[in-house]
Amino acid sequence: MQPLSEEDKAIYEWQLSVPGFGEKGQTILRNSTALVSRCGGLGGPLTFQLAAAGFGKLIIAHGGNLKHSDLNRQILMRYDGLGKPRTESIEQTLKQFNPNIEVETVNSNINEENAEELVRKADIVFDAAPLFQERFLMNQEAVKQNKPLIDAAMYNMEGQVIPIIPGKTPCLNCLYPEIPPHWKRQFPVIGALSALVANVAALEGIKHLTGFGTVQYGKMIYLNGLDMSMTKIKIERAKDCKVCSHLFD
Amino acid sequence: MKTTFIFTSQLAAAAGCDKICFESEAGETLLKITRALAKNYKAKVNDILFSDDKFSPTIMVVVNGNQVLDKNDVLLNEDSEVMFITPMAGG
Repeated sequence: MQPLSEEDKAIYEWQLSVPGFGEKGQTILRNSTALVSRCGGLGGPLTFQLAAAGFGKLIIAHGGNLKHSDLNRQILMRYDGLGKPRTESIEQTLKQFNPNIEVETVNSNINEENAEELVRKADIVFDAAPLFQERFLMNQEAVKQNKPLIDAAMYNMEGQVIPIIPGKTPCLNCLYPEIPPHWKRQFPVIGALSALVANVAALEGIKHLTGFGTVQYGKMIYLNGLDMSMTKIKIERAKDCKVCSHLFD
Repeated sequence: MKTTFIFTSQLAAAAGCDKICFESEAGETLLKITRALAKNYKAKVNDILFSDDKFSPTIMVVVNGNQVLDKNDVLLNEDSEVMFITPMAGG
């Protein structure tokens, strides 16, 4: 494991003193790779927190060009990036913010062709994609490769975070066995709410990797920004789950 | 028997509210109680909740803080809180 440099110790000084995290936790992050699927309203602030926390490498998959309607919440984007690939803005912002981390951008969303390879390169996967086809693919690949997956989602003023550990917790397919017929790609969102959900997801991932605190395994963290409530819901694995049931035989 | 229902995300948007108390006969299944409740709402609410006379496979049912797998057959106790969670994604 690559030890922390003197600059690392200076940058992360304030979090090195977090009880239970310390230099050991920081060293784990420094040597970890995270994959983030989509870097928009949810994945953007999530990725920003992973960069700030000092992950060694971030792989970010997000296709398409930046639009005006992205700018109310996609905080890694830049106004001068309008009309250009989102990955350009993402890379510029992250490199200016923390040049000590390695950033690999993929100008494409997660799909059948790239999912296996991208998940293989990661120690942990964060899912912030808007389409269930992508989410199910990430879940399937994470389970297949026994990689932890932090699933983050939101709608309007509500959000949910589910830490998924293959063979230990229910997977996304256990909860939602098919593509929800009523889900629409565009939905109401204020950037501060997506950032709130993103921060919870980042924290659960950091705690899982570094082994401190209590990760909400087997639970859905349900957040409601209207009344600022947070509910932890015990979730169950589906015995007939097509993705993960074989791990429990 | 009194039950508190909590609607989330798309279901709350379709119903125009996120919480309601509903009175029903004791001993009825959650499915039957919810069907009676849903009659008070627009078709969209029913579309989200049900599929082929059962709860939709993509509706997560939470009773008193715990997910219920046998959602079509579960019986409730007095003063239960039922939360319907519709799927969400990133954005």
